[in-house]
Amino acid sequence: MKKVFLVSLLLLPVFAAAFTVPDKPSTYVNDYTGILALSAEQEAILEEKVANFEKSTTNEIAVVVINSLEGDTIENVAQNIFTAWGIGKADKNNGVLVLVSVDDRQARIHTGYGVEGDLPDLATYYIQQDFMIPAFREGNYFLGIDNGLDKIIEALGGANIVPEGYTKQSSSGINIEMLLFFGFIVFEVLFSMLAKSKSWWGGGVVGGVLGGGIIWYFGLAFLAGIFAFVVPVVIGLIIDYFVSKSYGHARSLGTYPWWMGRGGGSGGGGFGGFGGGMSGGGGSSTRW
Amino acid sequence: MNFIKTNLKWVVIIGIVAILALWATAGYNSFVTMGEKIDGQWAQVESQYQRRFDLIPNIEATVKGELKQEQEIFLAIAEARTRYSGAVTTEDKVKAASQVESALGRLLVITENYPVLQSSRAFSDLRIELSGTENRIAVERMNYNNLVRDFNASVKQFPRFILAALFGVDARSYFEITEGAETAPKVEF
Repeated sequence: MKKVFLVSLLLLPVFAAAFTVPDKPSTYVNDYTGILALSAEQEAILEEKVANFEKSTTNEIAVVVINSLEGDTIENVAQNIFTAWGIGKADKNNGVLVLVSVDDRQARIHTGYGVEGDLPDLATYYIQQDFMIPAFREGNYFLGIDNGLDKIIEALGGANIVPEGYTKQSSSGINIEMLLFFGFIVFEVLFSMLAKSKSWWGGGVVGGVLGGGIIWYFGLAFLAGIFAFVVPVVIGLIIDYFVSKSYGHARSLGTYPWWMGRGGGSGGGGFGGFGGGMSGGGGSSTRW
Repeated sequence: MNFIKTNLKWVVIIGIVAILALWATAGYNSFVTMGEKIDGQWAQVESQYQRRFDLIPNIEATVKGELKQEQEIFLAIAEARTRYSGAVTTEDKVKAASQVESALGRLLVITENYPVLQSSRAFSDLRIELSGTENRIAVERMNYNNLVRDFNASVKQFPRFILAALFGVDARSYFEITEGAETAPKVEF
């Protein structure tokens, strides 16, 4: 939950487009039309096909069926879903998104950076034109998607496994977002621990350890060292005082402040979510 | 403890200086990292432009036979390409690339009057390639603008703007699509 919350917080200003990207799902195949396009049974068949393919090749294929593009272009919607969900493994960018918009009668196969070679735009076009669209015209979405998946798997399959390290550019230095993210988690855990602890001095100890760490890391001289030690201890004590106080208050009310975390993991079986792959906008769109 | 008491003033001053130095170092490094990211993303935009340029000879070869009377459109494309390769600054490159874009768009409109082309498999394949390329350019440009936006926010926000002024870090300019190029070669089927 925490992660989803944070990620959506980071992405929020970027995707202010008309179409709202659904929350990152826990399955590869997602039909947002209810059972209009795919029955639960059909969804399970497709899911199994895609999941097996991921197990043997690590390539991730996401299937998304929506009612409407909400006035946006299918290219934008596909790119936004791809980026928000991170389809494909992060170090391979080997994701493919099959997007079908029922009311708009449009479809798109959107490719990640890593599969552009095995699944060029032309291939995605003819897969749709020759194997998917004919079934879509008759309203048989399951058959069209199933045929399309077979062809995509054929193009990507077996011998053509994307090598590791296929990224568009070597990211230099430390990932700031990751640092922020981990910093935030540490901060959250520390706060809630300090708040729950009965001691008034816990924050001082944490501050002292932190100060010691700073001294050790930067090899500070004596005077600066003392300062680097005393300041975190004092700050730690103050923070402990306040969070403990508001925890006691919150416990009596039954509502906890934001920094306490929301407890519990998402749990559930299946796959652990998409791997964080990126797309540069490859693929093609068709209408029927 | 006597030591701290007698030197309290110095302890405080040195402490503040140390914290400021840490803050300045972290701030400067983040400017550098973000700047590098933007440059990397610009390279990504340029490589997609190259992909578009690589398609142009094929498109020309396919349509030239039919479009004998439409010489000026080929001249316009050639001129914009020359301008692009001669451009040094990012802004000039953006301008020249926009010209290529609008010239290609006009070419596609013109081809609609030639049914022979419309039914040719080779030409239709090229249009699929072109639309894929145009979408890639749009995506990389959007990523570029997003990075610039983050960078500019960081440069302009309090208290970071003090650091930015100190180190002479300027806000970057967005990738604006110039007049007449909004109608990118839209490929419809």
